[in-house]
Amino acid sequence: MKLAVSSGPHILTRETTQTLMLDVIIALIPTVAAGIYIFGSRAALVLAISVFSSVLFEFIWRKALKKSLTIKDLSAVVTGLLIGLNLPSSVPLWMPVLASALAIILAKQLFGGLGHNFMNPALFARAVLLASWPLHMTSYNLPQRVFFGSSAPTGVDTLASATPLINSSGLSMQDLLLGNIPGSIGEVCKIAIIIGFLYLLFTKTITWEVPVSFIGTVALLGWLLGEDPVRYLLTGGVLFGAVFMATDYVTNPVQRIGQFIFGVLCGVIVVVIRKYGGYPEGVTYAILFMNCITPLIDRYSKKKIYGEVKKNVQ
Amino acid sequence: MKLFTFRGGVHPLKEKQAGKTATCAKPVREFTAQVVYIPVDMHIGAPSAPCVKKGDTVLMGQKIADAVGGIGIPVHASVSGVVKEVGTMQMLRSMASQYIAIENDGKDEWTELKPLGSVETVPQELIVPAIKEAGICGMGGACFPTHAKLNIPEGKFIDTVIVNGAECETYLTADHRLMLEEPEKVVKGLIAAMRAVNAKRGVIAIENNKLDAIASMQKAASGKANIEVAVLKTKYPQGGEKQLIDAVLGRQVPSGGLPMDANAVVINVGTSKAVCEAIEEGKPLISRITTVTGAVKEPDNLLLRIGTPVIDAVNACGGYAETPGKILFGGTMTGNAIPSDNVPVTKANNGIVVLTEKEAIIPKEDPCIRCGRCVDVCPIYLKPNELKVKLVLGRLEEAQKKHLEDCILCGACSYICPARRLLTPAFKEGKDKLAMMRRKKA
Repeated sequence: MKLAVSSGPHILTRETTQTLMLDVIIALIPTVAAGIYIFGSRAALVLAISVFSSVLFEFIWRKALKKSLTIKDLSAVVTGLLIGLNLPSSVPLWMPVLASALAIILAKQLFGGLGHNFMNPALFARAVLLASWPLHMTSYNLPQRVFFGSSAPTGVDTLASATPLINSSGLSMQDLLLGNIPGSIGEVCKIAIIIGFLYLLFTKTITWEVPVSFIGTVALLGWLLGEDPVRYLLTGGVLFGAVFMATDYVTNPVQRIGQFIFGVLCGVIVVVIRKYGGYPEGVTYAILFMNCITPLIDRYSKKKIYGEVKKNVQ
Repeated sequence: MKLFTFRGGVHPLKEKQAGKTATCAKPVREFTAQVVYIPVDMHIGAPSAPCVKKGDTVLMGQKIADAVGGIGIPVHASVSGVVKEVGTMQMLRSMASQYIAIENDGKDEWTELKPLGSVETVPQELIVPAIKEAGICGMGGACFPTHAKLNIPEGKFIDTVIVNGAECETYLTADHRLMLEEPEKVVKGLIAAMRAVNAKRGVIAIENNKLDAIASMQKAASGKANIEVAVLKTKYPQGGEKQLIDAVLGRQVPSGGLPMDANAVVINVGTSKAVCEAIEEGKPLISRITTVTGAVKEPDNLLLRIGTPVIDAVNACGGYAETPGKILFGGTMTGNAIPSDNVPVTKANNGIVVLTEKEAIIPKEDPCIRCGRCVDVCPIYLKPNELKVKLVLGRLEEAQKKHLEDCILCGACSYICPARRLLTPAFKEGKDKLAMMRRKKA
């Protein structure tokens, strides 16, 4: 009989990297479904291409460099989904492929793969596309279908004139919540995002700190600057960014206090860009910028360890 | 009901409760082996020196090895019979351990015992020497000699003695059974310990997943004005000495210090019972309750003589249920894996947990995804992810600055890590290296 000898613990939680990624994928299902419902088959095509090409690039890169294959951890699937959901359904189909290459190879694998990238790969890709092909990235299709017989404008492959962020006055609160508006595939249906958020919280996949502080800060600052805070949140990509992009483990701080600071600063930058910057929306750049200072937050958010007390206090 | 607890920790609850249900209702059953192999280095401190030789006839409770050094304790024969051999065997330590094997004559003939009388009236100065002579060391797993723990140096004082009945480990129910079956002895042992260190207050701390044990101890402690039962939240590592002191007293043991620096002493329930028997009956520590569970046919709580080979204990529980892959002394969080099933049960061995070959598989380490779970659960509030990076890079001094030595090796971070990082093993290695460096310098 051969007995294994190893150091404890000899029991491990069932949660693995793979199950965490799977939980994120499950949390994205309502958003994916709503995006496809609203923007039609074109949205499904964009999502399929980005997921497939992300996994493919991950596979090719790892294979070519003779490294262990990591597609089983599902992180490339998550990245692919996030890339697709961050694109308007009207983009040319080479864009999701290019975005996947940028995300997987440039932002992730060149830095050592999962866990070593300092920027959220999907957001990095989005930022590059946004800077290089701003027209493609900011011309959104009108919804093909709308939820619950809304009177919001619709059309098949009809480009909307502007994002609701610039002019949302004609849209009812219900339309904003359900996603009967033009926008990126994943960002429009806020209800779906909230369902995903609750799932992630309930399964303890993410902590509440980043999304709550991020969203709260945007609402609070928006209100202070004279905006309707609810409307301010329901237009644009704050909700999607706060729930699915800023919560990426790898690129936000590990400590709860650091995560809270991260969220607050994300919110501040978003409002500054929206209010004073040249872009109508600033979620992408806010999160990417904060990704870069995550190591600083980690370094300076110290905590008192157990036993940092005086000896023999009487 | 007020629940005492600490910040951090994990809930290996499903496994923990499922693991415990197999044995928590099983009354303790005595089992005596044909031959016992009693190690002389069970405790922390210098190994004891054998004072018997092959062929000697020994009585139960007779001293067979003398204490060596300041904190050393003697070892006693756990059966009556003839010394078969004095040999060495690979056990839990890195080097082979010396043992004394005794062939049991089945008579269980006690050597002459010298009871000191009631714990309430025994002269205070006799308590600690009696505990040392009885060879008592921490029976919760650490095996630190109890007399040394109760020997409070000049300038320090103890106000509270805590009896640790948390039993926060997975699978184990030995302490649980003891509190149900012999609660009076636990209380008496506590009284003796309190008197030894002049403590005003005694607390018996139990996790709230053992309501029957709480009731049993409350009953046994009723009428004792200065002894109370504290109910703890069920969470791992609630029974860690530092966590327990924080939970019950709201004090922290200073970094690098001992519980006495927080004016507290913590002893395990088994130790407490042994202290009671040492004083009131004059009996040395020669047996203990051990939970035998996991992949055995009939999991049970056995009262085993010290030195009983694991294989005998397993066979007393119907044998292996399937091929074992790993056998643990202790629970699955902090238990030690033993190299073979001939290894004997020691004074600290609260459980024999048999894991199947499948359960023994160590998964491959994945890259850290910085999810922060380890930081969340660390009961010492360290940053295990950072420490691990330092250790992988070989930067031991930097890890030391980040309080590596404060790690209590509870295993919570390794347990919770979704990337299956070997955190606790790395910290153990790092701590051992630092301890070695320290010894070399001294």
